[in-house]
Amino acid sequence: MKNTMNQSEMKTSDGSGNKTVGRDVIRPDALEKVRGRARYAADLRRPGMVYAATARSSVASLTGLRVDSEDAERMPGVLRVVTAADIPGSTQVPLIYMDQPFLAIDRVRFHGEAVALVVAETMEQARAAAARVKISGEPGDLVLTPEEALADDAPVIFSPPDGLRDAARNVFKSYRICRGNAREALERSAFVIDREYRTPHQEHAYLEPQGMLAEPMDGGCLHIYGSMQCPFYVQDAVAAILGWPRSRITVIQTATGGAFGGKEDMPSIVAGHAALLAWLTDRPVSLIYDREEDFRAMSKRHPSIVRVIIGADARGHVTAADVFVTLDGGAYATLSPIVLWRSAVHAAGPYNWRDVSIHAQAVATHTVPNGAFRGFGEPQVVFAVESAMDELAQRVGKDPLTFRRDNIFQYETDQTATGQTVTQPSLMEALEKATAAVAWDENYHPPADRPPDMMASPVRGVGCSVSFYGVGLGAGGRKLARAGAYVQVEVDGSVRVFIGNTEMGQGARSVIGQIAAETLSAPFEKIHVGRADTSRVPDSGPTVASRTTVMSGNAVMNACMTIRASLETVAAEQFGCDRDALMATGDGFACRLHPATHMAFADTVSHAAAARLPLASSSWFVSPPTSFEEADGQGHAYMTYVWSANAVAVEIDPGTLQVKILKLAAAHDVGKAINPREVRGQIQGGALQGVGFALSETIAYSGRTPTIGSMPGGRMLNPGFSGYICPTAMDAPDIVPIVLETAYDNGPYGARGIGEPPLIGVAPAVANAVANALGVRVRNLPLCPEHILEAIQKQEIAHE
Amino acid sequence: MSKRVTLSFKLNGGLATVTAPPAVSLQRILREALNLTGTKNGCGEGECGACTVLFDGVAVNSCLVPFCQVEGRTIVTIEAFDHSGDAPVHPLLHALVTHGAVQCGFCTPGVVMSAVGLLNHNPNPTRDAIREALAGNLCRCTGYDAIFRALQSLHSVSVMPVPRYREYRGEIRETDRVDVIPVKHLEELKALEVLDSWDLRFLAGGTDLMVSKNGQGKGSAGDMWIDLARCAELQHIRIVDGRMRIGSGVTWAELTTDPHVRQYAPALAQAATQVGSAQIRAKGTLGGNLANASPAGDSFPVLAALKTHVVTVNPGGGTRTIPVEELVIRPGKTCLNSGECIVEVIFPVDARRVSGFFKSVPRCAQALAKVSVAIGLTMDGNVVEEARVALGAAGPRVVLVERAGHCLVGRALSPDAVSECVSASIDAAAPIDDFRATRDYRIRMIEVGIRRVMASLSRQNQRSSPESSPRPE
Repeated sequence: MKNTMNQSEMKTSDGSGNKTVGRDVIRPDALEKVRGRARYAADLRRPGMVYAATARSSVASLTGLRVDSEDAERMPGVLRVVTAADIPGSTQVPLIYMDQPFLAIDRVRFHGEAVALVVAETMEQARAAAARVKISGEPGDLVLTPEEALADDAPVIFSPPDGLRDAARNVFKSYRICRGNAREALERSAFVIDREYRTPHQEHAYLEPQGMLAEPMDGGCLHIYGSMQCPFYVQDAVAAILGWPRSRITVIQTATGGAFGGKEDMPSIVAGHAALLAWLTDRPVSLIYDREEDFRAMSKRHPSIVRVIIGADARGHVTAADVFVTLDGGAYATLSPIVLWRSAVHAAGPYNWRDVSIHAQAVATHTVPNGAFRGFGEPQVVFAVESAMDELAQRVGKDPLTFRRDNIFQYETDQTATGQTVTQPSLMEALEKATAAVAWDENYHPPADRPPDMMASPVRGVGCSVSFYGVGLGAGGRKLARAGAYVQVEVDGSVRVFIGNTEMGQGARSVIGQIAAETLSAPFEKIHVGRADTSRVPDSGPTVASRTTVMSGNAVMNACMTIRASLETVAAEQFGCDRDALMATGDGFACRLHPATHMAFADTVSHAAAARLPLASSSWFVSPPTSFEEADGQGHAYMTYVWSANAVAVEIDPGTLQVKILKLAAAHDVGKAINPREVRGQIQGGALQGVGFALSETIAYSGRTPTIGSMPGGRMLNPGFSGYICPTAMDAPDIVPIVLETAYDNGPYGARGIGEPPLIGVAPAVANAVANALGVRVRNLPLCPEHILEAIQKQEIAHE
Repeated sequence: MSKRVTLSFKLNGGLATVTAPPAVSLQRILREALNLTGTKNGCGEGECGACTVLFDGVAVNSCLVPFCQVEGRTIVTIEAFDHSGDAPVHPLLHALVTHGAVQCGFCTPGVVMSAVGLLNHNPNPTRDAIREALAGNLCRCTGYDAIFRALQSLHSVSVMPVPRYREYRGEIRETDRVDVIPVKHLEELKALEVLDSWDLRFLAGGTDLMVSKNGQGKGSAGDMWIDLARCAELQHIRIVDGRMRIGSGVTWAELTTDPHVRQYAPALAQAATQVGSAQIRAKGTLGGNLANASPAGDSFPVLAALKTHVVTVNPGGGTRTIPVEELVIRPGKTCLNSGECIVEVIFPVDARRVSGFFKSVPRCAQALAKVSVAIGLTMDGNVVEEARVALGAAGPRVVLVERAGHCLVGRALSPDAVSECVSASIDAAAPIDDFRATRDYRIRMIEVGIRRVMASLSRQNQRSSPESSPRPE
């Protein structure tokens, strides 16, 4: 497709001397997407392609699983029905533990678990036949909450394999972080708050459901195309289920219609299934989920129960924090251990506690496995600790903003819960800017005593929160903290760039292209960032944890520096000057000593090619070292942190108890905004997901939520967009993005990352604003009218 | 098994001829038969809007349009904007791209089509108009702001794509279980011989039936559809002999704008504006909402408050008139016989009647009622002459509060009278606890709803009767 847009609308340089970095370039994928040309997994067609569908359990807990596929096999168009017995390689999905089967074996642990696969000539035939697969067994006892799972006589959902540390029956993993003696310090504290907070499931609600195409190729190879964040996880999974060497499996990411963590590990299962069927039938197999099964079977944000005990001294300085985090992991471990680690490391917030104790555990239940979701275990603990900080401020008798100013990280001597000394904490600037944007000083009032009458006019309030976010996988995932890149400059001056991280909507291809253009001194239009392809770059870890800009960005920079040496060699020769005297113009080079000289990028390339200098390079970047001591949870947990503050002004209708956000200001220190427009887009989009988490999003299960009639327990009651309430265009508040740029030394052009932080601190800021407006504290998300009403009723009882 | 049918329609300036089963969605026709994959599938139930196309110039969800209803229509898809070669990028697309309104891109084609639907009749929309037009297009990436800014940057540009003549041909080879009988005149319906073996459904706007057909709803889609979409006798809104008669095929969009409805049944217009999204309102019909028999159906409380009768015809020619509050037996089940079709609703028109509607919702659009309240009061000056108070989603079917008249008739709308009406309504309601709302909250919303509607009716009445001083007895 001819790109008929030009970049002339780019803003001028930001004064840094950078030509492309720091500009609002038009992202290279936007035009094909807006024209409907981008091809997503469900848009792919192949000659001879057949379609797959998944037969799922409609019961949450079964033992003695039996599968009868006779009827299904006789349905029109059906080629084959497949169960776990047909798997030639590993029956288990390779991830942190190997506890989840690709297809259920003997037992079913959640409603919606995949039991069998059907492959047929058309998608309708495959789905019709999948509905005819008979799944039976003995219904087992149900465990739907962490409290039930931890009871002494609880049925066993998970038992740790031998040798697994810090796990127990129905406990996937636990962590302990300990500095000083929190309990003693709290006993000595003048003010103490001890509260429990709860958060629900959150669904990613990416607009494109999961989908894969597996295509058998010559030479005993298999190509996988699909919607994903982590092609190397998919490669692992396909190699495992088929028992093949990785070298015969190529995974190519297609346009991905949103992911938000929901396409981190889940696509491994989808691709494993498609690959198995492609191998068994020797046909290209398309496996596309429908929305309901995507809701039922794909991972969610972990529900949490977080108990926060925090104290302050008589002058209002914080003393100690004792935090207990319980995450509901669902039926299988998936990513729970590492999500839990991030929860634990951030559970005490960005405050100067002298003594800290954190206990964290992830527990098994008979519900959908929970995994990665933007924020990765942080939104839960940040909701708890930031709500508790407001409650403590009130106890101390300070307003929440002053109380935070007095206690947040400010100096490079301040230490996180893991004892990591912080660098460049720009939290105060973020907090001041965010609160100023909602006119805090004018709008803050001491919280109301009690809620207004039902027919009163709307009440208003403001709230804020601070948070920090460790960029990358940190010490919890340090094995994967590396990334490769491959850059090849063609003789015509166009440039191909390959990285191991994916574009899932967040703008990675733009940012990576800008870094390459800047480093090569090439026009941005000359750069083509290819799709993630496991055959082009080595395993670069997952596209998660806001790590792509730092990890792949550095790798690309390194590769481009090697090529730039070739280009500079010929330019210097042409100008008759030293390489030191060259300057990059954004399109080739000039010589500082002779201002009239200039050699365009394409000419430099052409000369370098003629001189047979190397114009291609692969490179490897390894993240700065991190550490974590399992015994006491001390260490240099992450390479760097993004500092964030959110401030919210709300209006509440005292009758309906509906919360309307008048303004949400979100300040984030991203180090360097490579593409400021896309950074603002990340902030606004992430913040709106945070608004959904704050106000309306939750998953209901029968047996846990009141249900009509005698429905069996463990069924998801709202598996679709009509029952799962995410914000529409009419619900979206005014979101003001505030971008701070304190350059990070190890980041490409100073960048840190921005994908996840925007979601994290929104919910507590809203909860604090609601408490300010109504005088009622809601400690369980979402802040829906029903929960607010419950809190009002509790408070009224307490008053009486 | 159904026969496949061959139908033609105008598509992107050209002509499409497709052979496929009659009940499959237009979305499948576009994607599977014609390989126009710019129209996306994000949910199959009309909630996400990723499949939005223009149907005779109006944005609709193509997943909810059955193939049998596209014959002779004009369909425009995102591909109409995809000019190849050196043609300049369409200004609308250009605006979206340069404002950063495109991230993952999956919702984007649908957003474009909804935007075209809006801009075609409103070239300089306010931000609120944009929000309303896009409320049926979920975007999970951008936070919507960039999309709003992009659309506001366009000043009266022509948003229609440049048509290019092309012939499109394609087919879906499968058959499926649904057959469709089109009905253009009520006489045909009356003459229809309904077989016992049929699992019959009436098809109107398709906004509920197609959800089941796409496998996303709980209910079955049946195997025989009677398509009423082209039955002109179901499309009327008129006042005859002091009665408003509204055909069952009238859409929510029409109810929103019809001047008679706005004047004489404002509660109905208010309810209509709050249904679903622009795409749903363009297709969903009043009759469909009634026949679907949902406890949360917005038409029930409003029509009950307006003292409405539902008129039906039976195959064989018989007709019935049923008070709307008696139409439903239990959730999802009406008292209608197989083949009995809702033709119109009739309610009295009275200049002295004021009416209002309140809906408690989990979000601002695409929302099922947690509870709804509709009130119709016929006023004699300040005094209530007749009162009808109806509650939606407050029981297995609409609750018409019998004691409301007792509380209100012969009195002014005093605080005491309103409070008595609130108590009577809460007593009459039987709301449930479910995942959409708690019983406690629903009860509170009955009170809030009644008090708010009463307050607004009291204001309406003050305005409409300038001689508001008490009349001599």
